[in-house]
Amino acid sequence: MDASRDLLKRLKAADESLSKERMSRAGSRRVARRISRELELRSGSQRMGWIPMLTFVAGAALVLLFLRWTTSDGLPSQSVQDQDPAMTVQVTGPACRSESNSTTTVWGACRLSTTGPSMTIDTIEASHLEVDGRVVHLRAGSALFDVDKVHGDPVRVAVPQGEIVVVGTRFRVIVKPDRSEVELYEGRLEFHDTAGRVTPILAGQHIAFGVPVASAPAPLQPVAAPPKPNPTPNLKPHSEPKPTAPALRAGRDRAAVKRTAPRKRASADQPSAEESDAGPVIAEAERLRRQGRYADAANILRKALERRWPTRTADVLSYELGRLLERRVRDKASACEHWARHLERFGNTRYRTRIERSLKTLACE
Amino acid sequence: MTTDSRKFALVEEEVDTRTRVRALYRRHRDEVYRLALRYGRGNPAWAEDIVQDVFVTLCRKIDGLEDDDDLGGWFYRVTHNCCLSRLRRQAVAESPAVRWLLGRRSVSDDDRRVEHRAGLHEVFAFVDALQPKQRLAFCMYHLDGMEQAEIGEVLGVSKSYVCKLIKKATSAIETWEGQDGR
Repeated sequence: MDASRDLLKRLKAADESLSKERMSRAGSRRVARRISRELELRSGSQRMGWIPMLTFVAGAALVLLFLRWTTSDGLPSQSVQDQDPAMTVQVTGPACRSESNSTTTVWGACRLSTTGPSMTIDTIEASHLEVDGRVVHLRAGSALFDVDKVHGDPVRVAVPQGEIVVVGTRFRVIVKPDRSEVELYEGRLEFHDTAGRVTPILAGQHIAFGVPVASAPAPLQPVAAPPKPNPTPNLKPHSEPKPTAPALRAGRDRAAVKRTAPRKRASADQPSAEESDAGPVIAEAERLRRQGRYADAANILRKALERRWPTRTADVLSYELGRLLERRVRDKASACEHWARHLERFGNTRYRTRIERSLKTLACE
Repeated sequence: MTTDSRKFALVEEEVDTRTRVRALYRRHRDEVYRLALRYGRGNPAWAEDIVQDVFVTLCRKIDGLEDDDDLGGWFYRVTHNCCLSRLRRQAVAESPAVRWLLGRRSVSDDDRRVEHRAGLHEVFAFVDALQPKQRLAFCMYHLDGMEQAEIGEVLGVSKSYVCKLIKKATSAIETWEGQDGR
């Protein structure tokens, strides 16, 4: 212990003797030189302070350019051109006649499945359709299109009055001698007429073009009766175009389209023109739904249902209201109550199975 | 602000920085040198290197330092950290494996010659037995009379760890004395 103390004393003495020492002149000059070099470097790096920023901006611009290059419509148009020769069309259907040259032409009830772009087209017996790359010519009859999301050039359905530009959607097109009709179930379409005017078509809308009354989108606008129904193996009997159905939002499955009631039933309960115009209601509800204002959309439909509608329209409006309450508003009690009232009011509604399933899912009493 | 005035401001700032560094160098170099000399066992070249490292750090950090009259603590801390880094590097360089790989003789041979010349060998010989951090904590505690908490702040460790370092250093000294027969 004493030795430790002694050692500490000696250490302190040595430290004190060291503290009297000063830096040598040469050493001091060397350090001073190094410090001034460091200061010069520092001011230099300050002057060049914009270089890292410029490098960053250049890098970011390059990345943006690359992204734009890979996602813009400009480049893919090249790849689309490369893609089109690789486009394959497969035609099936027992009552179908087809010819394949540079284009694929079909007559009758056919199912066409294409890759690049991926789409499925169902035609009826009296149809005549031609697939020419990304342009589909519907010469006559009716066809149901189911198009996956398209990158690059959109698919175009050419009709005598213009063409329908498709991005990714499900819709039916009917071509008649005097006019054409389109009924959109999902997604969004644009109708480009021969004069170059563009008319957007929203989900649930059914428009006719080639006649003065329906030159603009007219949801739920009653249109003339379609040609005589021709049951085909691909489409359910009596499933010929049923344009009067106010398809606010048809289901995602094909069955929803097939189950649309025949036109005869709707016309039996034909309301006055004023009463049948559910278009504004549907448009408003759709607008609110897109904005996420589900409760407001439900209120609009609720108020609309207080008015007098054809049974089918009322059925669809009421079904949409129920779906809103169940899936968007998520008000279980209201949904249960609504579905019960719906079944009571419409009895054998075409949505019965779905409603029963909903009642089971919601565990309604 | 025009380009000329911007340039002028930059030059003015540069001049100001140079003046500040010069003034701080004049004021603190001896203090830094003394501390470095202690941990460098009286080796002037080693201490000068430390002084250089400390003032290069000052040049890089001077924009963040405000009160030039109150930088004694900053210099004390930075000097200790520089010494610690250098001692660690030296410990690695002096390890047998590295010496064998690099084909070098012991680095401390030169230092020992310096210590003999200064008559410091006997005093500092036991310090060699300590690890760098222990060495710093021991010297700060016994020579500078610092509190354990203050030492912890300088070294960036907790007070309890400082206590442990000092205890280990003391026991190492006792062991060393026993082996040396003193």
